[in-house]
Amino acid sequence: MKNPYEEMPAEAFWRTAVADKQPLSITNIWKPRFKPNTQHKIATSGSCFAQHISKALIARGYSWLDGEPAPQGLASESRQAFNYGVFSFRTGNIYTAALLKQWLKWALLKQPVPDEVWIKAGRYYDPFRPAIEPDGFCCLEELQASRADTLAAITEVLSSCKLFIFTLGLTEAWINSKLGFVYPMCPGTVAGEFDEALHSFVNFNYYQIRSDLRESFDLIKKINPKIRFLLTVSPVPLTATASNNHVLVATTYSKSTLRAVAGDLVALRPDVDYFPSYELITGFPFRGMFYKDNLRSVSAEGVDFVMDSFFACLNGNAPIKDFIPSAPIACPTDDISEEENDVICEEEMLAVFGAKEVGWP
Amino acid sequence: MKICVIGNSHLAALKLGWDGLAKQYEDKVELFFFGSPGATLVKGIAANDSCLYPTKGSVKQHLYNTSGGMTSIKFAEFDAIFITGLGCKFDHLFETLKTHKTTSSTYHQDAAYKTISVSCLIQVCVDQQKNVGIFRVISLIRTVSDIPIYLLPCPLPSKACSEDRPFLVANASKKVQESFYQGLSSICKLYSVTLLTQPENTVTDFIFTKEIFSQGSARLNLTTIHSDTDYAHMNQEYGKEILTHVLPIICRGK
Repeated sequence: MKNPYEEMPAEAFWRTAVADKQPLSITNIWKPRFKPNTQHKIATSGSCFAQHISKALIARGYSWLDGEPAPQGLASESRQAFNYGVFSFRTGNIYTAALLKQWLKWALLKQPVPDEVWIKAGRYYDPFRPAIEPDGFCCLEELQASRADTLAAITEVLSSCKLFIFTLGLTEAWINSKLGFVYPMCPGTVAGEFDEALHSFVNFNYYQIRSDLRESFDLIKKINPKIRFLLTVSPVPLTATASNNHVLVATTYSKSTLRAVAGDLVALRPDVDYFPSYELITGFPFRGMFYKDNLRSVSAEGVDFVMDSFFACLNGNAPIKDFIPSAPIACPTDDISEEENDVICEEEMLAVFGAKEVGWP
Repeated sequence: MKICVIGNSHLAALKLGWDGLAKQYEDKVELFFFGSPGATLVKGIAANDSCLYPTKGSVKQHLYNTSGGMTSIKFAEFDAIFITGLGCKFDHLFETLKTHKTTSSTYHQDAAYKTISVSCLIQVCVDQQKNVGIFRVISLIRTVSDIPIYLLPCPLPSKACSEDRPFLVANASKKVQESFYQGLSSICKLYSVTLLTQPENTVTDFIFTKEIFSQGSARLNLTTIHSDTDYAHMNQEYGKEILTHVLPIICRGK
């Protein structure tokens, strides 16, 4: 009788799947549990790396759901600056599972949003999406109206989509220790003021993250029972850690915890799948070749490799259709620059504070 | 003071207005009009040796007709440029306001319309206007002259246009008007241009021109009248109001 390994495909063996191959020839890295077609509505959210997924879906003609389309006339670089078309709703980056759950409770369960507002130089900043507008809002009323739109968009998008792709980014976060809610960014970085008595650091562990994700998925299933979830883990290292560990060690903890949660949820739930974008960038067979000089940002080649692998596993190499939705009208010049293809990463703003401390110019 | 007035069809109201005002400004102000319809001026003009000159015969003819015999604009002969029209208009915001609302909108509670922040609305104005004809002409002028330039946008649309555009009525607010002008102002700063705003006595509900000013508006040839459904062009009375408002500003700036 044959042993089980004798029947296994080439990708089950390190030599044939990895060692004998050039890095860019490593294929079949993912066996999709569910295969969306171009008619299926897909929503994306999560950490900054998720921004690449929406762009790739759009470029290949998939039905990416934009719950808050940009106003007509806003040029593409301005759409990026105002966080339109970045995720399926204008929450900004959702780095942690706890933050996802919090948004879902506000949107789907209509739980009240804390009335905390950050004011800087006469402008109003939403503590739960502080960088959503480049210079904040003109008044509280505008901030609240805009957030109400986002909450409505979350409900609308998640009610109608077939697949929700969520990219896990961080385990570290800051919370309001009195009221228990979680911030996407440490107060005092983008805006607001840090208060040691009020703001606490938390490094979510495996159990907390798994619980938050399960609760999040269950909430969504209540309004959309047929929805499927696709998890990814961002390969982008932490900009800074407050864990009192070396940032490399903190990154390893963070990413491996998120990766473990994603893997276990796939094992536990038939409605969850995991796409290994993390492995495709960080895996040592790729020799760090997809990172830019700061060893943090992923290069365009890396993003392309990940997205090409995604679509190759999904349905062969789907051609790019260059379909860009919400194209502005009456914008005579709308050139696409390299800058505007950059992702928006509020966490990167932390580096500014780090630079000050070590006396960089 | 010699003022060079550059524009397209919107020049007609100013010319007619000036005909009725010129005597009042005798010995103080002289206006010289240089007009070409639509976007023809933008497409048919170049700058060289401190002047703008036509690169197309049709534009040359229009400049000749409107100026009373001149075929180029020599900046050394003028104290200031007053430029208007040429695609710089509020109407670009129509599409934006079809789907979005400010917090001042009467659609404020209507979830079908998404909220647009004032900052974003200003950015929309910048994005829409920064490459319209008027700024192309201004950028040409700036390559050869630092003459003072005063910019007046096209007239706000006549209130008559609001009948089949309820979204405009809903969004008619000071916030929207100010956003439009702030967007333009930030572009004007790039070219050291002074932005002139439409005088309040011609405006109704912040974003419309009073209907009375759009009745019987003339075309650039000054003899043909625009159709009744034209909400973009204004009449002689409007021209008078504008000049009465802007000439003191331009003269003070000298």
